[in-house]
Amino acid sequence: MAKAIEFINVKKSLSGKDVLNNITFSVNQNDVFGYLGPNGAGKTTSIRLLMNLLKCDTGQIYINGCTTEKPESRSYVGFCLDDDGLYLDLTAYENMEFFDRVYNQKPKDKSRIKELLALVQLENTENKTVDKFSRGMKKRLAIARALINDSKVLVIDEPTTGLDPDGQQLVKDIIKSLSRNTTVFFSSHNLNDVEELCEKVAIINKNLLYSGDIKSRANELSRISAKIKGNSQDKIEIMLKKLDILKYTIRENVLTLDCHSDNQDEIIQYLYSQGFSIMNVNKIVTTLHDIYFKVTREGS
Amino acid sequence: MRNVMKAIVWKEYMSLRHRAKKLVFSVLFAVLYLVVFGIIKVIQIQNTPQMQSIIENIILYVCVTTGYLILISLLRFSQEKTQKTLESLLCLPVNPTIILLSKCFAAVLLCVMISFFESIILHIIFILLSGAIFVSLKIIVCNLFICALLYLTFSIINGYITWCMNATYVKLMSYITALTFIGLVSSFLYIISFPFYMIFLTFLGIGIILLILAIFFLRKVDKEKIVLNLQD
Repeated sequence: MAKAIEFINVKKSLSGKDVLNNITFSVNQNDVFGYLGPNGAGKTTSIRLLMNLLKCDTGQIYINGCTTEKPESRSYVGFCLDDDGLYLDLTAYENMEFFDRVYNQKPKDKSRIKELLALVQLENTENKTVDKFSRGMKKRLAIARALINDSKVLVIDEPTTGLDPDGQQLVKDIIKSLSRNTTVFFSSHNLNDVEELCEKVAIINKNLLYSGDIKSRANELSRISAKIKGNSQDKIEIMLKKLDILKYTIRENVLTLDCHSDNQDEIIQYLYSQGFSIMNVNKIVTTLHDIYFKVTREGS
Repeated sequence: MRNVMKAIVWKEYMSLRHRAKKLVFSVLFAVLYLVVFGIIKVIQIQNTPQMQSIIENIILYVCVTTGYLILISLLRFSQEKTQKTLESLLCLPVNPTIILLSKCFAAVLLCVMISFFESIILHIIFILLSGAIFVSLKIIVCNLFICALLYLTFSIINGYITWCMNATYVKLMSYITALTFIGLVSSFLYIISFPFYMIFLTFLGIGIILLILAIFFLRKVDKEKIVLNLQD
């Protein structure tokens, strides 16, 4: 799979403090990729490095195989930074037209700008100056503006922050619709959004803590909790050795098994077939929250 | 690169259109102030041999001074910081020097154009006032040259200090900018009595010093410096 974004051994210090330490990960083309980490973890610095606003101390960043040090690397990158970057004294339409003029030799016809404004439900406010917009409207306009160059890579910092539920859903729908032919790289604190939109994530806290598939990691961290009648620890230990169990604990007759989610059903069936008296059984589904807290706590 | 430059110039122009009224009123006041003093001076020296040379001096001086005032209003480097648009601007696919130059170019182009038209209008006013028919090409050309040199170099220095240096230097620069304007306005009647070549050479000398500084600063424009300065 071709890589849209690559961070290779990226290290960055600011004012003598390490902000990013040997970060290496890549984002495949047409992936929606979530970038997570606690406050001060280095997410915004990473985005600044990606947009070449800052220079790496060591390492390299590539966008579609082109080093970010070359201005051309940003020709097909749409971006929506945390501050929106909208000109308050210009109208919504003029803000869009400015970026249209930047990226397109021949500025596009008005219909494309109007189409994008309609996409973010701002078609009726195109002639209003942006200083009269609410925060949510500004965010939506910033996202529409990021799409003006038909970007192959879209970088968004906190896409749903400051939006009402309708606005959040709208932005998520836009991101979902883009995922067919655009790589979306976004940082967020909202794990529900990331879980809904992304298949892959990177979690950082100065160092890279995790990078990869949410589902496969969730699969690795799945567990079964079963309450068993009577004390049958010896029997359990002998039996469990035969199964594909990653780890198990027995405490006050509650058996907890760390196992892959794929074979949870098989293990439960096996427990019943071996004549264990099971009072109740819970499949513990691992979410992105679990992964996030596990890796950030272990990492720190 | 040309796209980006043209787009930035267009953006500056659109921004100006939205606040044209405010700008026109503030500039008109300064122009009228200087022109009225100029008219009084011309009336005092009417029909004397040095009248035409003083009129030439007045036209050059008024055009350069009012152009400078307009330039200060048009240069919007600090607004990019306060409106938090600077990072987005720096993400455009060109190097930061081009971005800074484009912003300067937009403002300077307009100021030079205004100065040019102002010099024509002042010619007409003083022809009507003095009764002597003259068109001083020397003044029109020198005015264009001096304005382009002074405004462009000043804009570059202003842009560099606002974006790349810390708040202390920005304040210092705004004091110097204001004092320069006050100095220009208050020395108006005194300076217009000097020979033309002295006024021209003074402006030229200042322009050359500013040019050296501007080239020095342009070579030091750095995105990282600008971004880190934003966080201070």
